[in-house]
Amino acid sequence: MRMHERLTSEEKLARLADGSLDAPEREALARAVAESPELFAKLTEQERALAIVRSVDVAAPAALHASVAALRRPSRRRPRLSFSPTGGVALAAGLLAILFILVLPGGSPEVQRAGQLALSRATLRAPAESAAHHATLSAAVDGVAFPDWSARGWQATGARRDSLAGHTVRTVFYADAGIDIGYAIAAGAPLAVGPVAKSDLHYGVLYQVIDAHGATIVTWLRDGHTCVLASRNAPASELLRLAAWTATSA
Amino acid sequence: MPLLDPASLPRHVDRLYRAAWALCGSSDDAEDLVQETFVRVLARSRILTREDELAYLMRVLRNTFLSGRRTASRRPVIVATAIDDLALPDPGSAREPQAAYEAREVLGVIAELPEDFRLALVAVDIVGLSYREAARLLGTREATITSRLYRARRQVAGALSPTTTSAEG
Repeated sequence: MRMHERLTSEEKLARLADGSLDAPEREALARAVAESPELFAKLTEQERALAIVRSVDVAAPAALHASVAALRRPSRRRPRLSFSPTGGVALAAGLLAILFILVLPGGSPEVQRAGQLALSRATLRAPAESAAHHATLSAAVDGVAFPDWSARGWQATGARRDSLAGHTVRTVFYADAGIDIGYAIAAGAPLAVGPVAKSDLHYGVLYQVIDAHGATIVTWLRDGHTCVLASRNAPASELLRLAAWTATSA
Repeated sequence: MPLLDPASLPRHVDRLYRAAWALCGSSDDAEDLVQETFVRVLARSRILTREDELAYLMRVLRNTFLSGRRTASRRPVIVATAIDDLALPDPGSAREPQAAYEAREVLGVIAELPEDFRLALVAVDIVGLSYREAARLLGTREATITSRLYRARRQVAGALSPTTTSAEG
């Protein structure tokens, strides 16, 4: 510590309270405190405040832990072009990344492939809100309707329809404040799920979070149909909130 | 020079969350702030030059807080209901409700401190940085940090004195 910065006695009390005062000054100040009720009261006040602040042991919500854990994986895996020493290395890294993306869909579990669909571009117009059912859109898969989240700020921006391993998969895309998500529902039996990063059981529904190479996928079942929410820029916690809302409200 | 190791970062989440809560005065805003902090940190590889990783994370947290680029205002209002629906566990409140209540009160008091005092107290007493690290973080001298910390603690002690704390009164 730099006591040569000429701390006042009060500032030294702050350091005495937290134990960061140098030994020679600590002893001198302790003697002064013992002789001065005023200094003693000030030290007691510092110690009390410190004890109060240090007693705060609130832990971060589990969802925040999960989203941070999900965030760190893509960064660790993806090479950063800015650290490539030469343009050739950067080009090679880029080609590898492209190759990886091209290979991924065919060899991945079905849910991950559905997630890739939900991360791709819309090819159809967004469905309108349902005239018959509150808080849903007019699009559905085997009666499982897509939610209308416009009241929350999420506007449906487009849609697409694909076939995946014999399943018809419909996807609706939503956007809010620069954040894009895709919501896919697969017809027929549940899709196979690969490795998951995290699972949450909520009101009997299992929500599984999947790290998808820079994106996050959340999957769960609605009436036996696989639902997938996927995004490259929404945190897992947001996807879980949306998925849970659907389960309880749609 | 050492690279920031993403694998080691999750162990700092709880501490940064408390720091963020004390800065923002709101658990929801704190969650957003920590989330955005990690998004920034993990956007690319980071080289640690003059700080350890906790000091570095605190620097990003503080910069993110001051830049006012938190995402809370972009969230739909109804999300608050969705949080309740999802019932995501909050280990602090679930484990010890009374302790969590007091923590909320303490963090609320800190959030009301003048910004310079608040940042000094958060850096040293909550995050656990040394005075030197806090001075470097906040771009000032150690003596200034000490002075701010002394005053910040006085205000915290005054606001949470037995005569003003309902839990004890």
